[in-house]
Amino acid sequence: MLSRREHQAWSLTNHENREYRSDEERRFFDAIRNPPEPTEELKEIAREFGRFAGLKKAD
Amino acid sequence: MNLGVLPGLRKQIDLSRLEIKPLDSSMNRAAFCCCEPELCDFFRDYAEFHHNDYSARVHVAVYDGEVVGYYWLIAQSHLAGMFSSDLEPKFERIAFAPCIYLGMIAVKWSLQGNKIGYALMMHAFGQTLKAAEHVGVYALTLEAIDESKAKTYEKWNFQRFVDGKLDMYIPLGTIRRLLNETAA
Repeated sequence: MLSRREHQAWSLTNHENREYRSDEERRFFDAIRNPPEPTEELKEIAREFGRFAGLKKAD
Repeated sequence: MNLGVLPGLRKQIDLSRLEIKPLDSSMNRAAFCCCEPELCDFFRDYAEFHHNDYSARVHVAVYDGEVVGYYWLIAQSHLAGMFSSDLEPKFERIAFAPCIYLGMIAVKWSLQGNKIGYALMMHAFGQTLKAAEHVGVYALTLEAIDESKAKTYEKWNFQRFVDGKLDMYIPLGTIRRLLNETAA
């Protein structure tokens, strides 16, 4: 029997299976292949807080 | 969490002094409270175990030596079998869609409203992008705690896996473009 901690660790990585409709599946893969442009709101956050991402622009 | 803001109770902080770093055992987790029991309990009781066990990687926001927020990441896969057969060729030889899951993101209650969550999210984006330099990653995923948060995440390019549900993803390519365009 799993300990409480082991069970918690197991449950971290075993999510309930989702059921996708075909249009939802396609939306996911289309988004992966053609990632959308970041929204203005997200860009604004990145301009203010991007330093926390720890990345530097390539020369 | 959705507690109303009580004027005067919340403290303003200087974000230039905020640091985000990996969890370590010297940090006091007992005092952390975000007013969401599940998130508080995880942080107090399990975060260190999972971090040290590498079953999750926990990063904390630290302000004046105090832990004021945290999030954790784990690898996640979506089995190809969960998708319809007409999309299987897109997987080529890969039988799953590799993702990174943002498990929880929480900010100390008395400091909410200081945009510490924005800093944590940007840090999680950065960590995801770094991981993707070494291991294939399609997207960063999360489960919004409620509909209100889901609507906020939608404004940040997260999309729902299933309409009406709270499981969401942001494509890796969007994160890369965002950080490349706005990097210091």
